[in-house]
Amino acid sequence: MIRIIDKSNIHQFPKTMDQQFRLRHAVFVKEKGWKDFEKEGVYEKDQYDNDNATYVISIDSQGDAIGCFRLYPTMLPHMLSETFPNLVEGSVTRRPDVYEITRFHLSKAARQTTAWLELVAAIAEVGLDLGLSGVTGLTRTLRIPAMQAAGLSIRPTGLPVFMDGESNVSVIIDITEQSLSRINLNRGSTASVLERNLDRRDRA
Amino acid sequence: MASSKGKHFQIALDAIERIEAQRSADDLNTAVKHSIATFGYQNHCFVLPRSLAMPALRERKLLMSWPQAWFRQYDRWAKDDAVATAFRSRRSSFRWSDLDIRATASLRVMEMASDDFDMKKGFGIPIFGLDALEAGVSFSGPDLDETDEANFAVELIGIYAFNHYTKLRTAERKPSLTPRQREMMKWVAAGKTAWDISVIMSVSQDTVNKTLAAAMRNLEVVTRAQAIAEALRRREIEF
Repeated sequence: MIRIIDKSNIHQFPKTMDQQFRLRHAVFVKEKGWKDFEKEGVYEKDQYDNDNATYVISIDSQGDAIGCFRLYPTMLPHMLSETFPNLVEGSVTRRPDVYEITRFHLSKAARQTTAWLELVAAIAEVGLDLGLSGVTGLTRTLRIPAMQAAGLSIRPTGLPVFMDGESNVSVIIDITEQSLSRINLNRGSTASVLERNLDRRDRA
Repeated sequence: MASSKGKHFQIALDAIERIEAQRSADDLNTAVKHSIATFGYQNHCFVLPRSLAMPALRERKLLMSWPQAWFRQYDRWAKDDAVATAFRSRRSSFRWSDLDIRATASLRVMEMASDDFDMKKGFGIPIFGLDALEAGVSFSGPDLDETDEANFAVELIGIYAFNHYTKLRTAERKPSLTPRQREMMKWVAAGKTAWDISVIMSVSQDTVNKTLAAAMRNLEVVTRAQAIAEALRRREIEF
């Protein structure tokens, strides 16, 4: 199940947010070795963890966070525009209907196809919910085929470069009903992945 | 003036556009060959990973522009080939020249033979699907642009050519499992072992394994997990 947390309901979920920052520490600091954003030795946080962020969090049957991605408006200074504009050919996309996706991850134990497909489905479902036409981001280049196999339509926006010793590329993912249908076909379910009855302000 | 990075990216985008405009596997073969020629590559080969269910290269090839004579020779040595092995062990694309070629006799013969066919140099791209290595993409030629920028452009071209190939294949595909294969796949999807299924369907375990191997060949996959995913994707079975 997927829980959406933003500034309108973040006060209701201190435990989920704490787990999310700890999980990011385990994945991005411990596993991937990103030391720059380590906080208090147990969290991973950066300047985009603020009121403008939307957290899309994978919750297991015990109610614990097991994965997440973060959406951030591209109209505001964001990671691609501030840190990696050189990875984008031409100008960085900045539109009200395009958000940036960062920190997509699952806990080591949750890394299997079902949980992954559910989080990928959330990209399309939450994107449609927010009225987005696309999301931009950085990915490992060799991750593209799996995302295509899941049903996402994804295009490079620059030539890949080596980061952390691997080929990484800036991309834009189209948000469409068709993508969501393809992903749902692969998941074997058309049911929404989103947790219902959340006290969340309508924003679209 | 466009940067060298910008130029390479534009070449990749143009190639992807040309590739995605093709409507048949034959036309796609030609479009791929032209696209990679920019960087000196003459041949390409898209293959499924070698497995017990599908050992022979001729069963596993998806797109290929290899000369027939080379293909016949290579099929015999494929299992010892460092490039074929690298697809299994590597998590990233690689220049053939970066591989550690062990000096066994069969590989030396292959080295010399590959020289005759202008296939001594190349670039390999492992394609990872939903839960496993799905295919290996190889581009080769005698005189290559092997700069990082050229390799990155080629990597994008290989990934998008493979994606377009799977789209064409899906569009052309007819129901591909026999009723018996379909029934067995349903039990596999329900978590039953070959022994369980043999009891349920009152057949020998050997028959179950053979039928499932045939189903996996029809589904063009190499593991049972992939077979379940592919059978679901093709709507051969449902949850």
